[in-house]
Amino acid sequence: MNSWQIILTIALKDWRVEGRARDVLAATLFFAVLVITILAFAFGPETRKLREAAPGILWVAIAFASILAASRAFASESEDGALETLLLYPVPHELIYLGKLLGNLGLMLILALVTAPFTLLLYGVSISGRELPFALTVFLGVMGFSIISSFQSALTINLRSRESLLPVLIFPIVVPVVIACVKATVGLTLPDSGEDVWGWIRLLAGFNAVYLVVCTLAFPYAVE
Amino acid sequence: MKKLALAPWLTPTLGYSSVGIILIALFFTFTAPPDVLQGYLTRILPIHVGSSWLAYLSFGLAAAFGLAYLITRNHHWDRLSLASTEIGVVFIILSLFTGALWGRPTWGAYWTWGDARLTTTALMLMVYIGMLMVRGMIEDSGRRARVSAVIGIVASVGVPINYMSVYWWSTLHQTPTVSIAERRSALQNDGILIGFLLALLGFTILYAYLLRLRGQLAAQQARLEEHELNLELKGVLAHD
Repeated sequence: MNSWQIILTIALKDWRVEGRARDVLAATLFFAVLVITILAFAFGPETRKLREAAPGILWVAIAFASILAASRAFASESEDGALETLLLYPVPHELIYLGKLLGNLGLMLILALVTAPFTLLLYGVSISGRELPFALTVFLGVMGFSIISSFQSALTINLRSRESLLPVLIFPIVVPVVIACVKATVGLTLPDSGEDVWGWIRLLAGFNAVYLVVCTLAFPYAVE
Repeated sequence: MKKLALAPWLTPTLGYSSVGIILIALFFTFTAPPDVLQGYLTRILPIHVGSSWLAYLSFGLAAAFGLAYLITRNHHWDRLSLASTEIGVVFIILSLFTGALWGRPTWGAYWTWGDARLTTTALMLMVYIGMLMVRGMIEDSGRRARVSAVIGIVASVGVPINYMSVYWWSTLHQTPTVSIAERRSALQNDGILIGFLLALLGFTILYAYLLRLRGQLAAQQARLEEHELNLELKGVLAHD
């Protein structure tokens, strides 16, 4: 097997587990939709105000949901010594991280595919003519969350009080992703806001590239 | 009794010389004529820049010590990494505090979320407090050392981002006061420049002093734990 096949095999394993139990998607989707709906009530019925708040609300929902997914990403591996078995496979541990990352990313993209249109619809925001940069922003943002949250989830596997610890470890690192995503989304949904959309997308790409390399190289030490 | 550190005389020497140098730096800073634009406000710069520099140094070296631990698996490096992180947290708080004192009269606010340097600094503080929290939750010393080394290395990516933030976003916070690469200094007279450079030197020596002190304390704690464990084991054996 070459590297790509190994990565895909591990991701397929996670997707198969998810396809049978559906506990990650069910929990995160319900949670994200709940956040979006509650915040709509909190900001009141004024259309203009809701339209301005929409980018922030979308990314708060995705960020919180990805933390929820992260704590579950390796939770299934901590049962019955599954992680030990996974690590015994004669493949480099870096590829195991990339496989788990791809698995998590796939689920998070499904989540984003539901929540992003839902938010645009509910808050009356239009992105017509700018769909492609918006899709790119969503993809890069979700990828940034996945890179950090999969890594920290592996690092804290089997720890007591890990559920409360994970947000502390994940959020401070991914805040640049949240900021860049919100700014780019503001620029795309409110074209006269004057945000430099491509500048923020470049920042997202740079963040992802740096942390992907660092986390991949550090992963073998995180799980040994 | 096992010796705690090489050259025990070095620790107090570092401590006294750092305090001495920082006092001399403060003398130069406070006797220099006031800045044309900012008046007396520039007098906080040597402390503010000194503590920010120390935070960078601590977090950078904490990652280096963490890497050394992962390679050698010697707990000595883990203790130094812990010491370095704790020093960094203390001095990044001092840097935020002095920056806020300076920001109020110059920018009109103690704190603003619109500035990239301020935001990234606050985030770095949160990341490292999180790392210290994780340390407190892991009992197995080998795993504790390994996990905090990995977090320290990943978190250190924030140091260059924080340093470059004033160039990349150019929001409120100004670019470095003295830049060797650009051959310029925003300090208007030699008095405050000498104070500034001496403060950097003094803070660096202070780092070495605190690192040794905290590292030795951590080594003593580790020995105490080992000793208590041995006593318990003896008690169990005596009962049998």
